[in-house]
Amino acid sequence: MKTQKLDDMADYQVDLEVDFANEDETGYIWVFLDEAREPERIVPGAVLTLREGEDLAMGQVIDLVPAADGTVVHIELLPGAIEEYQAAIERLTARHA
Amino acid sequence: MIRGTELSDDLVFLLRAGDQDDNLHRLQHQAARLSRRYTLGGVDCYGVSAFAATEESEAWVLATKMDVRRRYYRITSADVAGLRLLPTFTAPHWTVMFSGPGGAEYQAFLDALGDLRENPYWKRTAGRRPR
Repeated sequence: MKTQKLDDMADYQVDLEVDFANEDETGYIWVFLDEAREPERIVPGAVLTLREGEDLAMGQVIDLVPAADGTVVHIELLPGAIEEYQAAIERLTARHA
Repeated sequence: MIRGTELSDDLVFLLRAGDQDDNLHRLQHQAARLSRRYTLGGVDCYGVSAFAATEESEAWVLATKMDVRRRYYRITSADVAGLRLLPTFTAPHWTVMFSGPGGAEYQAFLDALGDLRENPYWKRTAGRRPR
């Protein structure tokens, strides 16, 4: 399997559009659950693709917290660039082929 | 939500990048998201996040809090005079406050951002940390 290159970021529909600086009292970035493209995928521990504008990142759901007007999703940014995750998977699949 | 009595005068603010066509819309959406969750003094709280730094801490903030952004804006409080800047949650987090969900101040804020800067610490990759 060969995954598609991430050269043209604008064409990709990520799991969540976020503000990478949008931290709350927990220190994690947060969004509302109903902003997710597929809310049913947003569960604690889920690994997600994130974007703000031109920037992409990987993130992991920490928890979901009820709020007055919806459910807040806390997300931890994962280390490394998203391309490095893709490259690692490509190495894995190439060895398997 | 608001930390003590920190002053913005001697700080620089490192902000969201983006030169996309939806920049104004995205800014307003992010400000409205804050309002949906928080109030300030009993009134709606429109604002967007920023990270503050001193001259000494700027590289650290770029490398640890902004490394997901390939480009960023750098402003001072004087650049956005008329907007409230509040130290919120955990340092170095601040919030740029707007008076409502729309209006000219959003475009004025975008106009005040100046030139995009390249983040030398973009990506969390070994070797890009400041010493």
